[in-house]
Amino acid sequence: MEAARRAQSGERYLLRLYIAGTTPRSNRAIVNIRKICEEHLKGRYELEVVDVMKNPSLAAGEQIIAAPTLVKKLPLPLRRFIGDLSETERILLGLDLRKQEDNP
Amino acid sequence: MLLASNAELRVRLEEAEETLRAIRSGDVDALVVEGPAGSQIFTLQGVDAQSNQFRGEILAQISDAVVAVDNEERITYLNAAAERQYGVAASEVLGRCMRELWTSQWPQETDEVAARNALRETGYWRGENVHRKRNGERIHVESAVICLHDTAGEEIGFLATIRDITERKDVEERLRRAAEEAEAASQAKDDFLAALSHELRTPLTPVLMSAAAMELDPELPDAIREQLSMIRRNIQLEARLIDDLLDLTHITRRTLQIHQVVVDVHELLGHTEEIVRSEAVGHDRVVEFRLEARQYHVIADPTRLQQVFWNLIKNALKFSEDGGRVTVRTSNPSPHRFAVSVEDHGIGIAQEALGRIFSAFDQGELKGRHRFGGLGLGLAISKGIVDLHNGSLHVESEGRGRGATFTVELETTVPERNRESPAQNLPARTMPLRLLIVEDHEPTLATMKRLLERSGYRVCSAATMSEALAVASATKCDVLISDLGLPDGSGLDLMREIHQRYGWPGIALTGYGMEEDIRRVTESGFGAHLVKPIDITQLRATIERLLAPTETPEKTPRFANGAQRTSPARSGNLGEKAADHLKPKKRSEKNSTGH
Repeated sequence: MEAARRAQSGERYLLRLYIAGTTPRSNRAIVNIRKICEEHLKGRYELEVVDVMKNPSLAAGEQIIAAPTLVKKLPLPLRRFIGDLSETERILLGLDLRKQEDNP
Repeated sequence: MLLASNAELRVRLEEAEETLRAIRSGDVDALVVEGPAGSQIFTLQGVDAQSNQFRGEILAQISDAVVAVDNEERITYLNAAAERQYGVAASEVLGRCMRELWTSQWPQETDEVAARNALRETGYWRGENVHRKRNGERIHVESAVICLHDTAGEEIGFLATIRDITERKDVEERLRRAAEEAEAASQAKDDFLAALSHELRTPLTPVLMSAAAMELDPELPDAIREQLSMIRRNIQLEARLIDDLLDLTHITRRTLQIHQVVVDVHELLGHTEEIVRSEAVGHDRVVEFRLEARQYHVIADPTRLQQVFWNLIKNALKFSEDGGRVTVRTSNPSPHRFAVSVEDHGIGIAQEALGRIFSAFDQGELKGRHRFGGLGLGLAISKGIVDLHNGSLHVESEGRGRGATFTVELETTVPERNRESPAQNLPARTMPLRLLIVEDHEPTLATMKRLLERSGYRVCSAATMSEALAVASATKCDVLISDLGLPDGSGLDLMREIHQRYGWPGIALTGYGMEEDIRRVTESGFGAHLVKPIDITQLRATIERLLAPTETPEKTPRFANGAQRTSPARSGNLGEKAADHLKPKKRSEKNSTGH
């Protein structure tokens, strides 16, 4: 797959996580996504955490309707994941990080 | 291309569905809704939202940093205090390894191992170390760490509460340094006092010896001998004042050393009685000894104990009217307790002064009137000495003009049945005796030589250690008399050499008056020790004692009865006192070191 090939080639990831305050869920979401990034994207990702309680307009601009939501901004295509991001397999798949590991 | 668009559309639809599902199943915290007034946030409260909020507020409020990590030491939680303490935002570091927040620095590598072991074995560790933050800054922290478990009991990481104690550490460090400096200054003061006493006493030696010798010279008119006696006593008085200051320094610094042996206090009081007689007679005052205790053996330093009795009796005499009576009484107030009380009927002590009577430089309410001599150190020193013996010293007085009673109480001990007899192999006595005197202070050396020769000794002299060894190798002597501070070495080394090569006994002369010196003097082989200023009578008595075959068995092999003994301060005093009443003379002024 093309995306998987690009992911493997070391393309940079730009991720943005929308959270709503310092709730346990938003805390978990940060921990979970960072673990994934550190494990699979070390050195080539940027994770931006945006608190919608502080910047509601930022969320509106991205058509975010719930928090926590993770948005994969780069590489395209845009992807969204809702919740505390604890379903690691699903996230890996959505980020195009699973296939090439399963089928190298 | 169409296929790709279809796929993309499918994904978008899935996302939308997933969003709805997540909202329905309560997997989101908040919803953002676009309205005419802009974006609005609706927070969704779950069942445990309240308790979560409550916990969150507590953790946000506490000033200690709270950090949780998982089993891989990735940060899973940190509170606002932790964000401040480490200069980070939670969103930046959650999920990162703990080491990216700080690195721990341990005093010793083994400390870290010990902490990890404690955590593994007990699930808990508490301790201090240093955290090096990401910006390089180092902070001292005190941490409490506990293991975290999930509902099934599996370990899932640990939770640390970390308090920044850098400020406290800094204060402690400053205090420690200040204490060290104070200690060093105090040490310097002590050294200075010791050196000062040495310097003050050294020139007194030849004067005192000459005065004492001339005082005994029957060819001199009585009037002149009386004046010489006055000169000698005043020099001794001055030496005693210096000694008292030194003793007090040692007591306040807790460096006063006592050498405890089994002491027959009645015997000790017998010596004291001899010494006291001459003091009291001159003033028409009577000291009565009533030794009524049935158990009278204690563990004590006999010289120091004698010093206490002497101080108390001297005070009692000083504050008594002419014709007054002082009673020294011993008793056993309870089994295994021994008490010596010194009672006078003199000026007494006002109630309000009783409390501070044992403070240094205090003469009760008499302050400023200068009616009584002395620096007011005697009772402070006595109290210090009795305390060192785990005893008690207290005072009773019914008020001014009604006398006072001072009581020393000590624990009794069983007398030594089998006293070790110091059966020394003394060399056969050949007359006249030959002495080797080593002293680098020339006037002292010359005076001692002259006086000892007049006393019938043959005297070899030397000013340095090497000179002394040269003389010793050429001439057989009976006794070595040596100063401790020689230009080319120590009198202690000289004594060791002489003792090893020739086995001669020795007498140490010193002005330092430091406890440590005396111990070293004994260790190096000196048989006796005299503190400058040296009195010739005392020196002669010491020489005779050293060479005499063992007469009475003493409790301490060498240093037992008063004279040339462990205390640099008192040894001179009491020895001199002991010799006093042997001399044909009248005493007129009183000694005053107390109260």
